[in-house]
Amino acid sequence: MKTTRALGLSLTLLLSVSQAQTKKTLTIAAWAGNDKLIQSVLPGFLKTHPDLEVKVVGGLGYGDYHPALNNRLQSGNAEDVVSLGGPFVVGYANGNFFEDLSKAPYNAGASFQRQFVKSQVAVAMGTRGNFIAIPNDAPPNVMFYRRDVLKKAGVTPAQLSSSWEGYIAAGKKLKAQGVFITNGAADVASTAWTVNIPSGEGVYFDKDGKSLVDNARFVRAFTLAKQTRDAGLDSKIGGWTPEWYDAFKKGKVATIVVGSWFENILTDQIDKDGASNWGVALPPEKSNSVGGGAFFAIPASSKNKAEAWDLIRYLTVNTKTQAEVFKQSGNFPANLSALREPIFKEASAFFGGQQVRQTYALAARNMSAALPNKNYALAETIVGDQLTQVLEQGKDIKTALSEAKALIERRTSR
Amino acid sequence: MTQAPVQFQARPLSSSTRARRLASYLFISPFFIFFLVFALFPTLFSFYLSFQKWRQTSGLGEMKFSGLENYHFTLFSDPWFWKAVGNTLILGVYGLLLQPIALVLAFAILVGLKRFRSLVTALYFLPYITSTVAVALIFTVVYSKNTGLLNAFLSTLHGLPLVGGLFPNGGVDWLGDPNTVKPAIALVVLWRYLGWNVLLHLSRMQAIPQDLYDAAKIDGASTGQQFRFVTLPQLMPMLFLTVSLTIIGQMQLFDEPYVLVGGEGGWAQAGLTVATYLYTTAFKFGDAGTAAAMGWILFAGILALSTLNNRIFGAQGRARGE
Repeated sequence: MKTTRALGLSLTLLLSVSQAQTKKTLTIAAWAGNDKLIQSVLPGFLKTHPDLEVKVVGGLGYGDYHPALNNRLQSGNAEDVVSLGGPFVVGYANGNFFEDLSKAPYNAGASFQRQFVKSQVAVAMGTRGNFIAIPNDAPPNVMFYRRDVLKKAGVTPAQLSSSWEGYIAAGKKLKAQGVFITNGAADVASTAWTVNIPSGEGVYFDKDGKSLVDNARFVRAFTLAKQTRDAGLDSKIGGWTPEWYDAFKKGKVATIVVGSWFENILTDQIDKDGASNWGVALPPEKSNSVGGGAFFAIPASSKNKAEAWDLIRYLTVNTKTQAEVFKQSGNFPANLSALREPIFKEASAFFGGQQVRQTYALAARNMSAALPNKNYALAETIVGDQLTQVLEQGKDIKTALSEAKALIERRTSR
Repeated sequence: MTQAPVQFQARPLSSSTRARRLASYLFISPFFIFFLVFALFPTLFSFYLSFQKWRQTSGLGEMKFSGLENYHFTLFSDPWFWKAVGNTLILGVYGLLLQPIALVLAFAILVGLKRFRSLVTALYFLPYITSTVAVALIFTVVYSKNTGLLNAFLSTLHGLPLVGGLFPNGGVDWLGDPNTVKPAIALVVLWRYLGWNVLLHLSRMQAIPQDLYDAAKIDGASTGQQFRFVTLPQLMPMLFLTVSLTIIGQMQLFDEPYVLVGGEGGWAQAGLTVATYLYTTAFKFGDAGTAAAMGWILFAGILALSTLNNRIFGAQGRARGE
């Protein structure tokens, strides 16, 4: 009995002492891939914060991460810092789950926000001016093109980037050589309708939340897509299928307008030995990329908000961290100041010595802010469906767009 | 002599009996706790949710009571819902075609195989226990338009003399063309569940007493007639079970259409089922209330079909099963 009591007492003493010495643990949630990235750049943060321990909570794929996070937010059990994917930020912007970072003690006001890509800042802004998440990475839309194919057809990249009409004219020249300019006419439309969005307007909705999908911008986009399809300029191959990869590899498709992350797919999967075959240019008429990327936010339930804010700033404001993450993953920084880091001036051997990252940077600076709306995914689905009917079943464009508008109104006015 | 009525005295239970009873409850409690938390509560919550307007990302406090609006919208204002219902019913009919195939196959195995019966049944059963997602992913490759196995096979058949003209020369966009999506999905479902149905029917067939067959043979019945007049009537209870399971399973079909054509059903929503549309409404459009209402409408539909099935097969099944 005496030994057990003695043992128990010493154990309790030991535990209480060790408790006093354990560091404060900061938790950060991220999806698979990003969790390893964050883990790899943590040492720099821990050096300046020796009293902190950071635990990266990851493992779930991007698709499963957000529903699981939502559950934790509802029950108040979320981590101190959470990653948020672009499409999901809008849904939280007007709620109460996250701290308003524009207020004290964070003070991430207008001057702070200026260092980030405008479109990403707009996504994280709620209607009452609250700013709930700091942009971390933002893939700009760029155009990847096959140099050799373009040269043979006598088309220059400048002709492609200048205007959509120029893009289609170039497409006809390529068709004469038996090459498609794009895989899907639908992609032409979905890129074209993000061009020239006036400030204060969203892609599918205006500032009052009314859908504007029957306006001139959409009519033009649909018309361009129809012209592409009618002239036979698109290969009609479904995206991300084996044939799709093959078409790029064999040079049967000349261009693709997509996020800059496609570079990794090109070099790793599609055309491993295709050095100098490819180049990067700006997309036609500087089309936007809206809604992608990643953000960091602080849940209101966090108990370590000050330290959480330090960690977020380390990840997003520190240009060296942003450059390091880009180096490992190709995730393009949302912080425009980071674009001055030397890594972005490097020439790329794969792209024939072109300084592609400067092109990405230019595209990123061109991204203007489109007003976000929580029904974005719904509108995208409905408009996409009408576009398919126009392209595949020859539906009249004006009818399709007014039907899209009616369907969207019906669902969003409930 | 009448006896005085026996008087029972209520006695408190001995501690050992109490302990035994407590232990019994403890042993069965894990199941009930799981059932309450993961089955009963979500069901009741979704019923409650179907009368609310709620976006999950806004937090629990944002739930607004909206009465029957979700049901009204889904049933009267949503063209995609009815498209999904139509697709689901068509896929259901394809699924029911499975039954005759399974019956004939089971009978063939019963009659034709003695030594290899278990092995063959097990081989047919393998698709049922394979992960649905893995199966659907492989079939995405098989159905591929230019590089798929199915199209390559059809091209070869097209090259045959005489019958070649019956087959298309490959290049069929199985998952892209709205006319071929449903048969394509149905084929995967059929491949998956054939073994399961064969196993069920075979087990029931093996229980049919041999004397009935002998009596039929004496009366001069051929194998086909034995199947029709001996096997089939005896199978009614099992058929009732398999048809019920098929109906319930087909109405809730999610895995195969979701992996093959995605949450929006592909072109013209040709592959959209009620379950995948429900999922898209809840997690892509963020509209939890409407999705819950859709789920309960689906439940009502399945209940109606099961009752119908019960009327047709139930009485006969119960009568013959005795």
